[in-house]
Amino acid sequence: MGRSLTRKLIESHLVAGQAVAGEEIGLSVDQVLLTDTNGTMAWLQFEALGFPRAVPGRVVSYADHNVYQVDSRNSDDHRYLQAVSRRYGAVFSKPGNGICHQVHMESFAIPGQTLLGTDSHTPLCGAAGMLAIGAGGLDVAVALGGGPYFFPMPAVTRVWLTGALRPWVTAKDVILELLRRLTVRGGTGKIFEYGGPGLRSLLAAQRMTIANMGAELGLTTSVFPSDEVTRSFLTRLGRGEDWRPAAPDEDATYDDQIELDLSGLTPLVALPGSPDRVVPVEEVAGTAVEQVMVGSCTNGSWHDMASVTEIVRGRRVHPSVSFVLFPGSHKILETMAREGLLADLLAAGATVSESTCGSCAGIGHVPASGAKSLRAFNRNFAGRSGVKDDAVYLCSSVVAAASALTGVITDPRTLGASPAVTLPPRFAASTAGFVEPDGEGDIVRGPNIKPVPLGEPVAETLDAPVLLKLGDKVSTDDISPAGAAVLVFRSNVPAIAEFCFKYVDPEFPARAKAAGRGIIVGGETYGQGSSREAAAVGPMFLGVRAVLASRSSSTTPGRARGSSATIACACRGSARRWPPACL
Amino acid sequence: MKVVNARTGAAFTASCALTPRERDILLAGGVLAHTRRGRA
Repeated sequence: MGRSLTRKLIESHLVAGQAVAGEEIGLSVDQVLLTDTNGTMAWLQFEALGFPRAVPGRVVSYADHNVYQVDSRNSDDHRYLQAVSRRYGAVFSKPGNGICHQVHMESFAIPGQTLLGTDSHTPLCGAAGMLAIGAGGLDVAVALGGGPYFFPMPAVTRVWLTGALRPWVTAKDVILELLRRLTVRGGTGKIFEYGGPGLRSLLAAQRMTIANMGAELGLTTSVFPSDEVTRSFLTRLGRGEDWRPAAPDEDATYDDQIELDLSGLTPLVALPGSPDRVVPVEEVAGTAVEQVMVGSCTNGSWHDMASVTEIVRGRRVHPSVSFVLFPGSHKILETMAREGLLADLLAAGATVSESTCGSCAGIGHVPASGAKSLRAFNRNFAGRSGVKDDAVYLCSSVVAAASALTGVITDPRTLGASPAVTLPPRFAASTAGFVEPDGEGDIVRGPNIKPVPLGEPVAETLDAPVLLKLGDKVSTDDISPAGAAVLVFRSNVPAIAEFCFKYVDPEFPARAKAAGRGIIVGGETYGQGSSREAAAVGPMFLGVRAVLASRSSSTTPGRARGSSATIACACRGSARRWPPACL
Repeated sequence: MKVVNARTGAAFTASCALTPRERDILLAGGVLAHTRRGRA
């Protein structure tokens, strides 16, 4: 029986368990990426574990979320990250060098290898035929020490693509269409493997967008074959020697199949609140927006930046709109400068930021209270942008650019001919933003860097009050909010715990501490979204000893188990309705 | 596992699917403690 590419990747790295759907497996980890948000804690945990050196063949620490260094706590963290990277054997990617996933794809992705990252959008590198998975910081800390990554063997769904995207329709619309069909719960416990004749028309950058935002479906990861498109991408980056083919067998079997005709797609928009509230752009066309942004790890590619430039060239951004672009990497930004894109963007009134994904999580460019923000980003959970009463719409880069010109959400098809984007023969080859390790140096910890709290063994019986009763689809943004004011405490658990459920129940931290210990009751899907360690460690620090929910997000159980023994896995109740009436 | 509302006495059962490795982690006090123990 033929094997899928996913199964080949898993079986070639299998060190524990059997590759049977639902069974726990352990995989060896070839590469690790860490961010400044979750990676700081992972490095602290790595140190607490006492490992002498990072073991995987390639480890990279990125300062990409909180790059602005608005106070010394950010700078302290960056200094710590650079120092531990140097000492323990990781490449350090400086603030401004780019967003981890884009940079990793450009500089380190190798088809056929495994990648574990402290960020939920790590699956982006699945666009290059890698098995790339986002995990909790402690899982990553163990992998840094050479340990396997354990997770339930997912079911493998083949997504069979036919046709080709029509003008003004993008890869973002592909993943939004899947979210429309399947919702944010639709991918839990699954890996999507893309195939079919439609693949040939998708550039590497477009595959990256789709693989990246598979995280919003709750997927373990997404996998694309490594083919001539992949080779072309790596060759433009001067990395042709790293290419190798990776493909499923012709008679490969899958657990399920989804068919998607690319020719039938139209521009889509996700309404505020959740990435799966997807409607055709026509339904929201005319909605006034004050802020338009293109970038994040989903839409920061050269293709995105070049498309936007073609649309706004010679025109002017609407006076009421703040239009900000975030190139995904320093290489892209440098190439934009060399190819002349920057001048046209600036002339049109766009703001071009340094490469960072922070604003996606409320770090910089926070919208005005009550304002509508249109973003070619990946998430729009309430409050994530940094203000409680936000209204964030998600869209493609071309919908964003068209809307930036008009001041209202605009169907780009009304602009006439779609932009013709050509790839540069080569991307900038600068590696100035990387610092190679030498095993030397002192590790300096700023006053905001605190020791990792430890859990306590789970007792046979837990007697504790219910501290909080929640509804369905609780995101990690609900549990531990994003935003600069919060994420600055990523290496200080006692401080970041004070923000737990800030927008859901501001009294929760005080109540939890007063109770000493307690239980949270969730609804369906607890812990979706970002693989934010603080969403597990914070409640644990406040005394939460168990979470009862009907289902957890794919990465949440690992986070909960990984952070402490005091947060039990989500439970599947025997009652017909959830939560049971007695709660 | 059995979940009891101590105030009303109402109860229901819930399942918590754990592998033996995960169970060991919980009983050890988390991954940090479990891994440290394994390395000792």
